[in-house]
Amino acid sequence: MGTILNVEDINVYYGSIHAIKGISFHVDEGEVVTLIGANGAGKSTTLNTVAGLLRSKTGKIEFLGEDISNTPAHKLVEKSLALCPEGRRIFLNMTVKENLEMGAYTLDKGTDIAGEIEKIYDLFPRLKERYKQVAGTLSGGEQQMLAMGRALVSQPKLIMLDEPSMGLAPILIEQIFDIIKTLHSQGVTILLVEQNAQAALSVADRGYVMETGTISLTGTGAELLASPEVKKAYLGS
Amino acid sequence: MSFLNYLVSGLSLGSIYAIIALGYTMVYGIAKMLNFAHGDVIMVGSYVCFFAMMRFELPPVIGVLLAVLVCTILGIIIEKLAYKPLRSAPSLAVLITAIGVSYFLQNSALLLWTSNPKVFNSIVGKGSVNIGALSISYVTLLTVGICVVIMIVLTTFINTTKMGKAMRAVSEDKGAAQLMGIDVNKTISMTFAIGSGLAAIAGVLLCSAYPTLMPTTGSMPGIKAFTAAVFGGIGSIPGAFLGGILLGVIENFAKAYISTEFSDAIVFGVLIIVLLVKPAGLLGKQVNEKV
Ligand SMILES: Nc1ncnc2c1ncn2[C@@H]1O[C@H](COP(=O)(O)OP(=O)(O)OP(=O)(O)O)[C@@H](O)[C@H]1O
Ligand SMILES: [Mg+2]
Repeated sequence: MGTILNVEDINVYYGSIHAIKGISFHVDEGEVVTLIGANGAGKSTTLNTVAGLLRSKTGKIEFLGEDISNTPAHKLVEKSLALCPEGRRIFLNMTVKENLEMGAYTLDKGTDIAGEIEKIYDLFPRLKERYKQVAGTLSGGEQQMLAMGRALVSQPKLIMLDEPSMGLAPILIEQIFDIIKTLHSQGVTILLVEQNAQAALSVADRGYVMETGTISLTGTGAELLASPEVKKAYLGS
Repeated sequence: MSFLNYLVSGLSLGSIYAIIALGYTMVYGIAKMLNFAHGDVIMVGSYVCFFAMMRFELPPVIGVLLAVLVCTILGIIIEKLAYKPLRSAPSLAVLITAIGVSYFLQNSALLLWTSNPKVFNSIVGKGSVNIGALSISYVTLLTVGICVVIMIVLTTFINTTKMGKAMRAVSEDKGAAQLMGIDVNKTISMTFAIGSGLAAIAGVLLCSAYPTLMPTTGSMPGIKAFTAAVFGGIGSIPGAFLGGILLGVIENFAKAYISTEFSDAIVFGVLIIVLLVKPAGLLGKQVNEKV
């Protein structure tokens, strides 16, 4: 199993705010890796930097062995890297089907796009029932499924999920995590950012704990779940 | 003249406003900026067609095609040189730049072609179709016809083609569009190309109906069309169409029944009232708050 994503010593700023302070981490093929941490720790900033929406001042980001530190965001989908961003950011004025078609934007002309979208409907049957509906009228859970589906249409080698459970009812959170497990069993590599540390560490092979722009702790999902620091800070016990 | 005749000439003027307004609204929807130089692109298109027809004695169709070609390229160049470097600048900086580009185009036209008005020969014959007391000139028929065709083609393009859908995605959320693999810069450039090409068509139609061509010819129709775009709901394509047509009709009725001098004041008065009642314009969407 090779390394799919290798992030080395990145520093990211918003103007004068130093949001990411020299972190390094990696994700291997087939793994589910989670980044957990409190509000403002820098989790989204990290994912957005990997996705090319933000730039690091130092270090490098390698994806499938290629340095992508300076690759424009829109070129990364073709390279098989997808981000399902925080707050879903689906296209609210477009239909469910059109949103999924946007997810298939970079697929070659010859690809059976309808067939690829059908695979997403198998994963999220709810979306199939509502394919003609304008995305803005979907429920929060359905919107999250659409956001995940949209990121999966292109069959990325690595999918980054930024707080997929945010704002959802417990039953829906469970559904989202079931889907993450399904994807894992299908061999999809996942980098998962979550506030819901318990659930995230339970599905993850490995995890990193972020604290104000740095990585303070790392280990397997089980190790972190058992760690006293994590228990105290994130699991509320 | 009868009521119907006023209505028809209002529809014709409105069609021209609508075609110009489409350029404003598409650029606003996708690049989130007001391209105040849009009106002056109309003027450039008209001059190109004028010289092609008068100086080089080319057929009108070739003149129009040349005008569209030149304006499309001009639109792409303006965007690349003037607006692209300001992509993350404050919107006020972009607005001032747009005004600067507008003056630049007008003054270049003044240098190249002087301020002497040129008499534009209509691209179609002078005749008209008479139905009872109603007389519709060929230019009017052509103008309204072209406007309807543009509206249908553009709507189909935006709603059904891959590029059109990508444009809608960019207009909603540039970051998310990039995450789909859409090249935002290319999309914005494409939008300027389409808007400017349409401006050339509007310019030729405008000068065919009102044959005086000067470096400032595009300014007033540009401002009116911008008003029409706001009136219909800026960012909305059907809104630009509706706003343009209504503005043309209102303006013509105001001229016919109230006062020629006050027609513009009446047009802007109606705009203010509509915006007080519907701040997003007739067909505009209320801005979606982002989480
Ligand atoms: N656009 C921005 N401009 C300025 N500062 C920002 C911006 N976005 C994030 N920050 C700051 O950078 C830091 C890291 O933010 P980030 O969004 O990455 O945190 P996070 O771990 O994802 O938090 P959350 O769990 O709340 O989503 C925070 O201090 C935040 O205030
Ligand atoms: Mg976040």
